Amino acid sequence: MADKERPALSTLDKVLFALLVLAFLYLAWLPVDLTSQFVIGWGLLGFLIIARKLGMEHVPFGRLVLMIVVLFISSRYFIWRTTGTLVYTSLPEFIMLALVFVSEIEVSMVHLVGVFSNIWPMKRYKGPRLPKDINLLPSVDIYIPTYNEDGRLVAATAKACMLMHYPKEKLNIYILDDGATEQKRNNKKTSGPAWYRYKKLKGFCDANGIGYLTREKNERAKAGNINAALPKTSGELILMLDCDHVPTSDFLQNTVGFFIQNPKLFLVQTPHFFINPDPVEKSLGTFHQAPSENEMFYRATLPGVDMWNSSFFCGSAAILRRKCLEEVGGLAGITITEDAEVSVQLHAKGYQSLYLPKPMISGLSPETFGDFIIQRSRWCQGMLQMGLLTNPLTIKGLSLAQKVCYTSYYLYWFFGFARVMFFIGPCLFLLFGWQIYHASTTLVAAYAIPHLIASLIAADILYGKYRWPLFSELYESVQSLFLFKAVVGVINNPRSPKFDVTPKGRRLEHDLLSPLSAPFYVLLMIMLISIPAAVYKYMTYPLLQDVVLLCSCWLGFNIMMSMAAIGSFWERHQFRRYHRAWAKGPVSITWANNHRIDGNLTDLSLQGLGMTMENADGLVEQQEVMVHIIDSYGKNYQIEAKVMRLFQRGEKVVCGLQIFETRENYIDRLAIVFGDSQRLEDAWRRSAKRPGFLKLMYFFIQLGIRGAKESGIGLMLIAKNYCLGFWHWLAKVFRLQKGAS
Amino acid sequence: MKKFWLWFLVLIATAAKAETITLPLFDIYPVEAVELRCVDSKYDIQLPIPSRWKVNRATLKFKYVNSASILKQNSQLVVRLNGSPLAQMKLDPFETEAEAEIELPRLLLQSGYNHMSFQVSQHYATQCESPCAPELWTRLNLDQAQVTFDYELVDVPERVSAVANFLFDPKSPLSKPIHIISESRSEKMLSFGGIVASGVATRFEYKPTQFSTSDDVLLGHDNILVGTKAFVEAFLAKRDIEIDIDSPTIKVLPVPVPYIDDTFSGEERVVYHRDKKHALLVISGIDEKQVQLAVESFDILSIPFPDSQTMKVYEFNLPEIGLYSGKHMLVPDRKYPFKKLNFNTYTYLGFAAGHQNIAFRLPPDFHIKPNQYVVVSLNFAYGAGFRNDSVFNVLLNGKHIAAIHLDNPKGGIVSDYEISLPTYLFQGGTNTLDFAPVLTPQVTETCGFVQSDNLFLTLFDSSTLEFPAMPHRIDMPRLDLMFVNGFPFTRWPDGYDSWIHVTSLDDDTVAAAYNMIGMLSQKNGYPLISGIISPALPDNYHGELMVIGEIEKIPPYLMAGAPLKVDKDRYRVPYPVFSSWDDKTSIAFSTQSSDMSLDKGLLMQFESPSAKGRSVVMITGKSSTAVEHMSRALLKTSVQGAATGDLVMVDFIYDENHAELTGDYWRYATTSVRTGKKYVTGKSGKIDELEATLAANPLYYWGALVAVLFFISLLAYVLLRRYRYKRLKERGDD
Repeated sequence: MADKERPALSTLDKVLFALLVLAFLYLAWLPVDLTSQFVIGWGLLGFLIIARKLGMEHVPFGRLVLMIVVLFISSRYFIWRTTGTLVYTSLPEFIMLALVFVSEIEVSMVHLVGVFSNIWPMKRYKGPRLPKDINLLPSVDIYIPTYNEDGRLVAATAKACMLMHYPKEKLNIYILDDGATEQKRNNKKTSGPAWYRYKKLKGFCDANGIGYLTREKNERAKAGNINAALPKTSGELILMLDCDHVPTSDFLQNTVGFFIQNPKLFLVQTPHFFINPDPVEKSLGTFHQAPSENEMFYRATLPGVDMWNSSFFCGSAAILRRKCLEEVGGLAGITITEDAEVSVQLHAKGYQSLYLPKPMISGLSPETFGDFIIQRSRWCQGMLQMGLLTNPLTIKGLSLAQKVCYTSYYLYWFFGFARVMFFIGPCLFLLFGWQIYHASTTLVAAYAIPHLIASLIAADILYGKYRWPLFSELYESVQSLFLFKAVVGVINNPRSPKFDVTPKGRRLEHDLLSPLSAPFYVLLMIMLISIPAAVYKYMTYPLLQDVVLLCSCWLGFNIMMSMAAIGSFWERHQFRRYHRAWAKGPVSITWANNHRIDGNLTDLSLQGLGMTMENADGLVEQQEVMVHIIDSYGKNYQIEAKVMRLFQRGEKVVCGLQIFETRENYIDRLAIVFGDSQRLEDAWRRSAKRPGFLKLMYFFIQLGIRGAKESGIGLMLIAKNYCLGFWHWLAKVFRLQKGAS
Repeated sequence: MKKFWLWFLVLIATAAKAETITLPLFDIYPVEAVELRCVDSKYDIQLPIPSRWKVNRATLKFKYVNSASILKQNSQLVVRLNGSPLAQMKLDPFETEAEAEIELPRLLLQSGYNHMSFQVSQHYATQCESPCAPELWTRLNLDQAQVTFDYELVDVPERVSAVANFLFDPKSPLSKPIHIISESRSEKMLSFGGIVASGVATRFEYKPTQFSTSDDVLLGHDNILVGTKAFVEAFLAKRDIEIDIDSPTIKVLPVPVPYIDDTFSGEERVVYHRDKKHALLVISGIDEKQVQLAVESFDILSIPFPDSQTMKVYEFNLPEIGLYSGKHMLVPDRKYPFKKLNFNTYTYLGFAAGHQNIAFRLPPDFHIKPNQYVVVSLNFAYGAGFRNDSVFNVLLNGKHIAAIHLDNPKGGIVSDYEISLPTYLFQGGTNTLDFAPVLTPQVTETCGFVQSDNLFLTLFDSSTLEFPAMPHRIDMPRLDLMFVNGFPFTRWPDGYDSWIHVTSLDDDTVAAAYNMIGMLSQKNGYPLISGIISPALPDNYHGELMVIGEIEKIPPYLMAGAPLKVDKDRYRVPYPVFSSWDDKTSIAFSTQSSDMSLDKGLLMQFESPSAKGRSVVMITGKSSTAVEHMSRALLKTSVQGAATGDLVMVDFIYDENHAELTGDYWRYATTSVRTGKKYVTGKSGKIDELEATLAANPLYYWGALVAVLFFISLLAYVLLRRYRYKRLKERGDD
């Protein structure tokens, strides 16, 4: 067991801090008249805005001051909200009022712990250098667990592992195949594909010197698969990779050094980098236009919690120390997110973790909205299980900061519940007259709006680079109804969730309206019905005009958000066999008679690439060429390709090339596309310029209109199909009757 | 025989004297000028006649103006007294202004409230008439009406029950001072006098009640004698009245009137007869404890019992009273049926159905939050065949705040119709909720028969009013609140935690103290049994303090906090320079050697130097006469209405013209200024000193806020940096 060390706080520190916190709370509580509250709320808000203009957030102390000012504004709001707005009127109203209040508390708690954990993020992009003496290097096992994914996907990952810059005698690669267990091979229903998979993958492993491990039974899903492999392998460190997570060749170079340096370290986690858009991005066309949803987690949250020694194992793209893992019995636990759970156990034992914010794997996002929801529901259920069954706050051995961070991980997942409450809140008032927020417009302007804006400013300071305003709301809205169900399910029976594998590498053949969209249409309908109710109420109840106005603004925002969400249910098909990843860097092409053109890469895939050049200089479509690419390690690759498209865009000529796919050049293609971590980092750190808030609002309104239009067409197509189906059925029945007669 | 004739003459002179007085009607009943609209409209008033009057003759004189468009032949104004028509005046379009002088028959006038109605029926056409055409109006200028009474006083019944229903009668239009004679000017006796004054004033309800005091009987007035056995027996024995006090006693006697009998010599020349038209109330006991029991019992004699001349008291129990309770005071967070608020089920009838109201009081220091609601739940029934524009209006303090659409032409009974009214519409002190239906029949064609008998709306007394729980917190100084319900001296309705300090013991200063305690009791509707009047000033008093006395005798440490200060013949006077729209007044202070007129009084309020959140109210003048006059002026509603802020200056102006109108030679010019420092008071007058300072000084708040935010950030930064360094070292980072 590792030695435990805690940040030492002297008694004086504690007393001073407690006194200041008491003074802070006292001033936040102190009742003042409305005018003074206006001055306090808006005055502090003015300070925040000016301080941001002056760039105060870039200095750690300044950032801290800003966050504490935000906390003060929010504290005043919550004290007022608790003492002044929770009024009992009737039982149903009070129940809804309480639910909305609880939702607000949840959102604010998440925000609060977010502020705490991200107050001063760690920034380091390289690990310590490895010793030149290979005897000093620890042995590493690479685990690639797989269940039912395409064998080619698994093979690509395994091949990429073979390219790793690490002494071969110290490196062992294992495919842990749960798709061909004895149980599956002996089952009548599954034996055919299982045997086929077994032979295919085992053959691939044998041919490439890769370990192939399978087990008797499919027990405890991915965690069980890994645990079964532990006694059969012996590497000091274990690199965990999902089968679709293709690593770069310098992964171990950049991470193993940490373990040599710090014997108490049990984990180095790295980001998951995805080369394809998630379904929402794909539907809304925001891939590469705006930061992806996971960027906030990997670029802001994890660096933030790393400061508190609370970065946790995210299931893949991480190295763990075998000794530590074995100390807690492998990936054992009572939740379906054993990866996070094992981190809690090891942190409680005093071990340390580390997050290196350098992307070194290329992964695939779920292709369809359904797959996306399966993945998120699993995360949600697992994290909630962790909160409910293990409750990090009560685990001995965790520091207070770690408890707060782990609590934030599961609290966040209640957003589904909170979002649904916020969706229906204004409708309850406008349709049924249920008052669930007792405050006049003036009070809202004095307390709630400064709190809201201050929270947005805080979120922008903490996550602004990686999460644009309204995008969080959109993602949360899209998932809310489904996660609401998951949340209720886990609360009802915390032990009920089962591990559902996220399908990866699937391809949509056609555009389609996700069947999951139906509840959103119902919700939107309710909201639209609320509009005339709002107009009627505004005109009929003059005393309630301010409340009606407030609810109408809230409703308007909800409608915009749900229309944009509906747009994301219109799923677009995947044109290419392989996803093309954004890329940059020099590239040259040569062809007959020493023709050569230099250009810049724009995208890359195993199947092709895109580039721009100054001029075509005799190059024509269908021309066969040799592509020359140099990676960041200085290695030169040459691959044969054919020009498929060539056209002028502005001052540049755009060229699309198709690579000749051969068994021989597969390794080179793999190395070019996935092997270079600098390429991933370039893509990850590309800066998309964030538009202003109003522009974003306009963008969302456009999204909403487009979403409504496209899904409307989708609905009509569905209706048409139903009508045609009904018509054919009628015709069939009619023919049968005619035949009978 | 000679003696007999002397007795007879005195009786004629003092008792059987009939008086004639002319009073403005508004001194008797709160009337105003009213406009009677539509074809048939009515205005009711209650004409009070005190029980101790025997009215020989009464006349009412008033002016009215009618529309020039109405028809004389079928338009008239009828005045009724207790249902009997007294006069019918034709409304003449060619003589639109007229004056009516109506004799009120002696036999119809009864002691108590006499119902008087002014009813018009007015038409502009003989047929095809719109029942509520704008031309149909008559204005009664009742605000300028006068009533003349020719009356004589009846004998005071020598029964203790007269205290409840005869002596201190709010129906009495005259305000003769009540004279209090106390054994001494000790704290105990002064306080007993205060309790008595409080009880008397409470019985007079809202009628301004003056007190006087001396060591002798005041002839032609009701007198109250307060003291222990030895003093009372000796006092009365001197006046030929024998009495034996053997326990706490309340006794009603006629007033002994001395006269000189020339047939005797020396002291024996003074003999006493009995003025049975006035009472001498004796409140006594063997010792001070018994006197206290007697005075407290006197205060609670609220029903006419007992009928004996003497009441001996053995026990006195007051009901449990709570902070902020009192007459007509609403307790928050409780549901009140209208019946409890003195509203009985009422049916509105016809076109001009009028309005009915419920009045209630709220603690003036309620911290009214804008996001809380008062729920009025109405149960009512209305008739069928109403036009679509019939509504049931709800008014709060005279302002329209809600309306219920009576939109069912079939009529109906409506239960629990809820109206949520924001609490900010209410005010501390008295509030009035009016219910005024506007009923219109469906058929209103000009030439059709218009049926109005179906126009009814019954508001049931099972309707409820519910006030939410609200905290107590208010910015002071607020002298106006003292005239709303005696705040802050009446937080506890019995005056607990209140101290009245008199700077000298002369008759005028003590009378001023009685006047003030009487006024506070009336505002509060509850006798201030626990209030203390004392010539002493306790050290570091932690309650509400009222200081009454000559300006030069005010203790300097108290004067130091006053908005207008006097220090060794030097006045420090605040002069408002300008007022801006945001209610802030710029004040210039002038320190000067000058003087103050004897016809001027000052009323000031400021934070107690001994206790945060507590107030000192100072009533002062150049002399004790001026102080007493000031206390009388403060009983006038005109002065009370103009008193705001923390400094009120009242000039006493002798004006004979004023006497012609009102019977009073003095009129008062009031100047109110807000000059002093703001302070905050909370529940029970207690407020955290720090909270009070921060709330009253926004700059301090901001200073504290900036300091706390800065230091908390700094400390957090230092600790975080230390922790981060350690973490970086662990990781092997630089």
